[in-house]
Amino acid sequence: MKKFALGILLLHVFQVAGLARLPKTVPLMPPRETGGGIGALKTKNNNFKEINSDNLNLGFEIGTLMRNDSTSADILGMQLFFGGRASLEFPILSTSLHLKPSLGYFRKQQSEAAVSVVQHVVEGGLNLLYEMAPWRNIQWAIGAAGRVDYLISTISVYNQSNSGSSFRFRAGPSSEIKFKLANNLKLTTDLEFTFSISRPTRFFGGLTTGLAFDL
Amino acid sequence: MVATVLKRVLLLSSVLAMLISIGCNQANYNGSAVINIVHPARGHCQYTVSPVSFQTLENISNMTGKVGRVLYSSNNLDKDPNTLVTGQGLTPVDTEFFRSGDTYFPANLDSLFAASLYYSIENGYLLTKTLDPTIDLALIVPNFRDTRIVHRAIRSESLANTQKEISDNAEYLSVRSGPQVLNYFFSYPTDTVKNIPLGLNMGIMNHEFSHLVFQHLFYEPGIKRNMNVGSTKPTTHSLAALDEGLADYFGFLATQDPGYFLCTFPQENRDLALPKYFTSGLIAGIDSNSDDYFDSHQGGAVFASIQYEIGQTLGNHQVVGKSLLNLMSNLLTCSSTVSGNTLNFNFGDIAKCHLSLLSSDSRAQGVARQIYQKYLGSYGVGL
Repeated sequence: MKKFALGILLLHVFQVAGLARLPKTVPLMPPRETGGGIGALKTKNNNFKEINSDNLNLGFEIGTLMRNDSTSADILGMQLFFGGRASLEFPILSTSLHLKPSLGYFRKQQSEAAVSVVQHVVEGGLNLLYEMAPWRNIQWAIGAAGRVDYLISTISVYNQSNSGSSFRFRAGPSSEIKFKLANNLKLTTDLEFTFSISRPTRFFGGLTTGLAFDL
Repeated sequence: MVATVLKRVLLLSSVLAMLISIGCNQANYNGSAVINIVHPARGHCQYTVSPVSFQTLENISNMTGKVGRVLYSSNNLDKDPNTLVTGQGLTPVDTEFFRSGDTYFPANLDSLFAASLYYSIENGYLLTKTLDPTIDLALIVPNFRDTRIVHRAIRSESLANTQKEISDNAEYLSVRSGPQVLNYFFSYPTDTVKNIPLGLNMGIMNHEFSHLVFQHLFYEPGIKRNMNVGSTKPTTHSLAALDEGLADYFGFLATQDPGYFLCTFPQENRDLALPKYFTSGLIAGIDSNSDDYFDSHQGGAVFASIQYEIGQTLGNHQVVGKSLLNLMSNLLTCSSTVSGNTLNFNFGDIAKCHLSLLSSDSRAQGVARQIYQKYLGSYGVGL
């Protein structure tokens, strides 16, 4: 599972790195013919907007939620929770500014002999993203994410168990990158670094990837 | 139209959820607390998860209090001989607790272990004080609150000329640092245990706590008095076995389960309810000068079973527990165990000392004498 998390991270890094190597300027064709006039350019822009999902997007992603832990870390000082998110994404105020509310679930199980603790994180989130210069079939956006977690821990020993729950709010910077796979389908990867607001402050990372559909 | 309504609903619900979560802060509490932990219930190896009251805890995040602090180190503590003296590299366990009303709930396995370990040590402290109110270890043990309870300790042992990390074990260790004695409890990682991990077995952790009690009621005063250990009787082996036997019995007192050891190691012959004897083979091992044929836990298991039967016969284990605490400190003064400044005894002499301490309760003394005579073998001659 650690390799899976690492794979998603590398995918995101390569996607961003790949984007950085693309030409920065997009040559605009001068209007020479009727077909290449203002009207035609508008039509092209409209097509471009469709690719860049100015419409409502529905996304499903799987991945890991990472929680820093100095005692029992899975990788790089972080504990890994695995799960996924369903999200909607739509532009607000301008075509570059997107809001991405989501609902997610992540889980981690720790066991030692007959004793186990299962942690469930039901996550409600809101991601405000600013779309950087889009290029061809790739979109990259950066922004800020706010997440409200409903946490449930279940301790079990043999056939006895008991659960406790709590809320947590965390916020921090986020990044999203999308590849167009088909007309209404994109491969999307989200990376975020958040901090819990309550004390003691704890550091979290989120790394998910999946598909987004234009609605 | 639908999309616009949907967007507004999502925005509003997100803001509302954030406000709720900010209102519901996580645990950040100083003082005694009620925490959900894994602990023994009534019956043999019946463990449950439910709230228990911590009476001496001062900081739940760092799991520190009157009886010590729970620590962790990712380093092998034997790598640098000074580590245990300086405590360098030992940090509080990274805990997380949810608060619901007055009750705290461990969010993960480390938090559960940290709380359970502290609770076990606190239980040992309070049990000792309940049995004999004159014995307050917080006053007897110097720097008692600096007792270091190490979760998932990494240490090495030598096995067949190779170093191997210790697992499936728990240990009390006193480390001398100048005039001070530092008290360590180690809960080692679980490897092959399939049942209750040692760190969560309250009986086993109280067994270890009893070693601390013996250290500070017997060994430390003996060291201060410059006592010698004689060689005409098997004093060293008897002391080691007695230490284990007392620990086995106090583990039972903490759990009220004579088979508490079996909750972790089902195959071990450590059920106090099963009568055991000082057989000629066992006595030969204790009496020998070599460690090759001696296992302190075997003699200890017999002594613990004897105490259990005395308590059962009397219908009162408190009397036995209190008399054993007195035995710990009176071994240094009993006429049967010490001559001048020299300790010289076997289990028969220990029994004589114990019986003399029960002289104020003729019934208890009579029962104890009978049972000692029944199980002590050749050590029981002359009781």
